[in-house]
Amino acid sequence: MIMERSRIIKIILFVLSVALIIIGFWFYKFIFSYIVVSFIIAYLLLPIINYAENYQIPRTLSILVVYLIIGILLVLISNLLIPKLVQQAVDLAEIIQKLLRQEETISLDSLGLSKLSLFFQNLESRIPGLEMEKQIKNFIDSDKINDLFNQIPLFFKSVVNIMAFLVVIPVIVFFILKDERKFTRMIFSSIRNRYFEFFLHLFERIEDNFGKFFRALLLETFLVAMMSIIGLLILGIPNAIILGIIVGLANPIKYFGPFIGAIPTMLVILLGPTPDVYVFYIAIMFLIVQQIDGLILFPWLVGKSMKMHPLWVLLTVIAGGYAFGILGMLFAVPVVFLVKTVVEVSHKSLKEFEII
Amino acid sequence: MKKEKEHNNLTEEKELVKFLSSVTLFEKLTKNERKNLFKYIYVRKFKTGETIFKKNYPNVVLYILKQGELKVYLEKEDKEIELNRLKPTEFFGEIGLFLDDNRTASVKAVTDSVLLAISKKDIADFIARFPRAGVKVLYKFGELLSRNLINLNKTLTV
Repeated sequence: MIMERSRIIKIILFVLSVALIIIGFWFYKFIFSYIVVSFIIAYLLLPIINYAENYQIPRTLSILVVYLIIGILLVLISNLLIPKLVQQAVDLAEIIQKLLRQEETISLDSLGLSKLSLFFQNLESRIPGLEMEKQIKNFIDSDKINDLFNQIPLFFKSVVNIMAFLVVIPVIVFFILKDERKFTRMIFSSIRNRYFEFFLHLFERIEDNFGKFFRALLLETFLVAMMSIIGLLILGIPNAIILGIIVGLANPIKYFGPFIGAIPTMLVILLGPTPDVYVFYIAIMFLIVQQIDGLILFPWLVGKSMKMHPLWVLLTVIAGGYAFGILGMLFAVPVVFLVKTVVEVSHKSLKEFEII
Repeated sequence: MKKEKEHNNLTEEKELVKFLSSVTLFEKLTKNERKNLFKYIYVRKFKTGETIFKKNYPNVVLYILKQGELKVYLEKEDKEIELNRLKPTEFFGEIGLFLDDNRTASVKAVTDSVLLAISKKDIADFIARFPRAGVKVLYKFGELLSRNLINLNKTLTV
């Protein structure tokens, strides 16, 4: 009888918490991207603030100093870089617009890229089901591009959005950084005695497993973007910075990312003033970057912390792509890995604490 | 209302920071170091008869008894064999700091008790971030463990 009662309570609590999470997501969906971006930034800045605290520097002061430094850097960069960056974004958008303006179904032939088209056809005849042209068309599909543009802060169209972004994010980051311990303590203090150690254990283990993976992934992304930008700059490709950033952002997509990331660069070369032969040089450059990433960076940084079978990773990427497009491909593996970690760790901990 | 709450929080903090100096483990720490340590502490309240943890649970936190009385026991065929009674300022769960073993005994509250909990991971973090304070704490640990060993030797030879 008592068993059953506690079971019912457990089920009710579970349903309630799930409902609460769903309602929470629904309510905060508009600022969800802000919060996600803030958490990522805070996560990266946290070590600096903690380090400063070791020397008795108050958190508020160190956060303000970090903000000041970032501000100065931003002003310097924006004076030197932003006009260029905006120009590059506009250029890229123009090229894509040019593609979209063609009313008839886009094929590589119509872009005057018969050789490339031939190559793809050749490839397809050898690897049936690849459907490269379709993929490229899908990628250039206007809705998806628009989606992508809306979701990347860099492409925020209205000034209002940029202002909100510039004001709100630093404020959120500030509070996360300042009261990080207070938040965690508040959450854990509200847990009942029976589950206190369990949840603490769970949180620490998940942080340990997933945090390591996430930090490594971000670092890998950053390094690949830097290498790509340097490579593109050396080769003198226009729009090098933005193209390099795209390559870096696409890189966490396992197996497909390098190809997806390379598509904009290839389009810029083929449609822009750069001689077409540069496609070949770029391919070699990306190949080198990918080798450095695949042989050194990934095993060194991410591979150690990610315990997922390569086949599963591949299937997850494909499934994510089918479900949510390119963004799905990008986030599928981290999300699935997070869920896997949570399930595994909670199963183990629940047993150890004799809760189940 | 809010101010009052903040004020209460502040007095609670002051009181706890003061209490920490009466715990042997932390008696060598300066006030500032204790203030830093305070940020890692969870205050847990237990009712009479409530279990704090049982044998073989994972070793997650170190507990310090602030108020009340605790019983350390082992369960054997539905009987509780009492091993020890814990009084305020005593701490337990320290084995987990050095070994990855699970809990070696069960602990229960004899009266309503207030405990301070510090996660094992947070202690490691504290020691890494405040090495000066960390060394003092670790030295104290060594001292207490050595003393236990000497006492044990004495009881064996007698």
